[in-house]
Amino acid sequence: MRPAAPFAFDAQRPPSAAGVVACYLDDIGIASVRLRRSCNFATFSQRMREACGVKPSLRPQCAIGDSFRLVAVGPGSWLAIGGANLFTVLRGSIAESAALTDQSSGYIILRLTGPKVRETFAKLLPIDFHPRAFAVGDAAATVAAHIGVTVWRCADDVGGDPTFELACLRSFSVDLVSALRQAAEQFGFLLVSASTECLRS
Amino acid sequence: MTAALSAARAGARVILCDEDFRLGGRLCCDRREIDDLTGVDWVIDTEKELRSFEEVRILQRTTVFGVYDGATYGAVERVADHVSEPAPDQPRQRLWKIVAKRVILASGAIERPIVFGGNDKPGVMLASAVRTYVNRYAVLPGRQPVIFTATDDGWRTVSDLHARGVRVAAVVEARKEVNPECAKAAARFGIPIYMGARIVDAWGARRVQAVTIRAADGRSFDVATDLVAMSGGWVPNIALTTHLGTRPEWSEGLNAFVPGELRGIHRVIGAASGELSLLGALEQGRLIGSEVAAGLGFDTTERPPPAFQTDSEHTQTGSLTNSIASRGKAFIDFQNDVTREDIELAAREGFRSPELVKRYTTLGMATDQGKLSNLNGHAVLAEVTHHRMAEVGTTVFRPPYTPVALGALAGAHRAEHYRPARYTPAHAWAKEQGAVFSEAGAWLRAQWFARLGESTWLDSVNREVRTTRRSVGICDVSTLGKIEIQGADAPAFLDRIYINSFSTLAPGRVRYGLMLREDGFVMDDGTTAHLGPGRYVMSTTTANAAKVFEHLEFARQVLWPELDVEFVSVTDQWAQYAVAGPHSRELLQRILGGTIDLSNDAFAYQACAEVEWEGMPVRIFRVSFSGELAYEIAVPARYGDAVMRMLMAAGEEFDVTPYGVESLSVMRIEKGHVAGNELNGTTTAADLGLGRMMSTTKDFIGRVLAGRRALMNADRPALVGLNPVRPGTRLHAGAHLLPIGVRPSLSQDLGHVTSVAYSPTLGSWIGLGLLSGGMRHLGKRIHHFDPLRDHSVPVNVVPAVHFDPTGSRLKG
Repeated sequence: MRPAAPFAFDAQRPPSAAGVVACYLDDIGIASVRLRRSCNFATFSQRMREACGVKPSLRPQCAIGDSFRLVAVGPGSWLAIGGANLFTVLRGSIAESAALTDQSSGYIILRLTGPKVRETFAKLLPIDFHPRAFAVGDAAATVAAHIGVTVWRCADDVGGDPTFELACLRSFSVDLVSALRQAAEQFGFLLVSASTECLRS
Repeated sequence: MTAALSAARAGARVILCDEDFRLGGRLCCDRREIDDLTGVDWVIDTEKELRSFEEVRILQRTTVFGVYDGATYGAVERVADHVSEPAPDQPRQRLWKIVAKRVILASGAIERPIVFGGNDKPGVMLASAVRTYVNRYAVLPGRQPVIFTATDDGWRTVSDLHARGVRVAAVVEARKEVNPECAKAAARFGIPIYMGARIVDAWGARRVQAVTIRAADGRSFDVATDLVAMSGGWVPNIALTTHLGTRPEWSEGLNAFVPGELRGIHRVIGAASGELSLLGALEQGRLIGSEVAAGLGFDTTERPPPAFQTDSEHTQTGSLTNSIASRGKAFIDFQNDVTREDIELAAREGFRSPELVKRYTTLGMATDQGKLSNLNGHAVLAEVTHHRMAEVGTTVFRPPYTPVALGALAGAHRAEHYRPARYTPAHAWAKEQGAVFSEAGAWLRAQWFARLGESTWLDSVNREVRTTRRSVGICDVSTLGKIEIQGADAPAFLDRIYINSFSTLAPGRVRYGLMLREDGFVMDDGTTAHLGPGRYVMSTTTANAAKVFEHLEFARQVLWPELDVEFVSVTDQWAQYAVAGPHSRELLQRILGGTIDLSNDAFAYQACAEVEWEGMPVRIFRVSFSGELAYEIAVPARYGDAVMRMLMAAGEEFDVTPYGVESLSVMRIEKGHVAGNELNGTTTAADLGLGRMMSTTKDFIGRVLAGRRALMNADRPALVGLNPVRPGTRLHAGAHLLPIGVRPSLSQDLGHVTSVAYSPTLGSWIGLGLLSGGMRHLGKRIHHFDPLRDHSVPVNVVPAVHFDPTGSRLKG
């Protein structure tokens, strides 16, 4: 059975023509990770490092690993993003210390890159994305066009363009993409589907 | 500009908002010199340097219109108002919300008109406006100008006009003396100068043709003119400084209000602060810009900017008496037609505070917002009430500084972007099936599925219900809230949330639960499934999903932080479909094959299971809202569309129908299940006939307050079923219930009809209601009284469960 994306994609153009390229990651694994009351953070952190190679942050930040993200979204609460088998991997490694919930279909993840991402964000998200105010690895739970989103900054792409990833509830994603498109249209906007390969650092 | 430059040079991020379409303010309009450059060239050079900084954003045509809490500023950028054909992706105007760490306000000053008879005639204008026409736009507004001034600045107009070949007919100076430097040019050109004089009237039909001047010695004479340039002083533009409540202070020297002491992050510089000299303003900007940057931790020691040099300047202002009688009307507020006489009348009527004068006369209201009119109005008030200006005081300003179009505030949030909607995974499929959607919060839910030949919604709903009860129907229930609960203390947690016990719920079982608010009233209902050790999934109503989640968070974080329990919303993770009807088992079994045995023996009523099917996790619940043999199947949302199509294809041989929330509602009313109409925040568990669910062996939220005497009162409105006495009669939700034969009045009111449906199963309209005394009235007739629709019929009180009261069908 084929999984379906909630929205249609654009015909591929050379991405250089677009000020903003949004990649929908279609074969992704997403999980809510909540530190159990019965477990302390140090143990959890240790397990997480062993399993996925990253250290969970207690501040609004995203730990970026190879094809893996761990975004702190609240006290004792993280969103893990990785390959399709993520949930199985986590369940096998950290289930003792954290309550895990598969959210692979619950959220959609867009990877946004291009020279005009910040200007597009300025129209949609009410927070400051200046490089000094929002450094690589910073994360924020905020809103875009009245839709709750979690956004974090990744390393600039090979061309030096700013790169962000953004999570949004699947049911809102159609309208989020529509708002994104409206905001970015003037810069050239391209929505494509990509595999989790592009999470590689 | 100098402030922005200092801050930018120090490395700060700077947003420079300028209302004008080019930077420079009065430097574009007056002939000035800075550091051996003309003012205009200096502006060009400075702008160039500002634009060389990556961290500087210059917003032109942008008005900062309001200061709000949290250091938030509203600004409107006029993006394309000046463009004859805006680009397709260009808005006309754009709203900016700016959150600043520090703010430097250099909003300048507004020249004060002078009050005299006929001062509204075309050809009478501010001296600064005359210079702007002449110097900036190369437009000559008149050939025989008279200058009426009380300021040094007004005298500048003489040489500016002279430079364009215009001879000034007269200079009327209200002051008796003036710095000789100011008058030098006029004297050199041999222009008549009247010191200590004033214009009392301006004459002319379509435009000004002459003015009457009253000289210092009291003699009056007329001078022919086609342009009167008036200069009554410069009034600091302090509107934004008062938005957060700071009151302006009167400056005797400036003859104007200046900003009061500003708190926090704001600084005011230049003319807005009362510094009317160019040199002073430049220097102030340079210093404050650098000071502000230093305050934010930027290094300002590296390159101290050099001091400025300007041409010589004089900035004295005299004070004018305004209440001099004139023949013509002397306007104070040109936009609201408030004259000197209006203010005098207001004072005579006893309105002596500027706030009252404003309301009585409309002085400074609407578009003017006090910009041109306030000071003159208050000056007249001071004169006629024999007060000093400082005693009269002033009104203050509130946002917006200039009118803001609602369209700019709405921005992109219009048409399909007005507000976001939530779509279920099978939304596209439902649309293909002719679904008519209704809103449930942000969700769009299929209300019914219209088929060819069905002329009304009721036709569609009746078909959907009949097909489901006869064979099988499928309903998208993905919008119901789903909360996954985990942890060793999850059973204890659920026990405290629900009125009934959940710690006794075995794994693989589902139970209906009811939760109360702390005040004892019902909050929400739904089922919770015990998926596996320490893992539960709770379902909530669509409408209350967020509220219930917050309720649980409050309980976990505040009430019982010691409990080992975690939960997250999984509403979006799962696409969930109710498959209901006598053939539901066959249909599902056909799809799931050997994955699971759905027979009664293996999977009894209220069983649940998690299985792996087609490489994905699938959850199956045997629950029923329709009262039929029914299952709910949950699959990861990304497969929701495919699975719905699969279910429908497998159901073809059973004549399967999709059904929407209308049919869902019909069937739940037939079954007497409560929903939003009954869970309306005013009902208790007992009111809904669910009182016996309240456990007496454990504590739970709402238990104590549900025990209040008034909530236990047997006369409270409680759930009953209602049938029309004459079959076929229509009932209406919202109708009042009254005893038969009484005159309708509130004192006779017994309750109301909460839910109504046409039951194709029973061939009649049926209803649920909240009736005082509830089932005590069973078998009695009461009055369904609907004054809104003028529809009164007798109804029978019957059990709430209209159909299959023993529940034999759902266990089938």
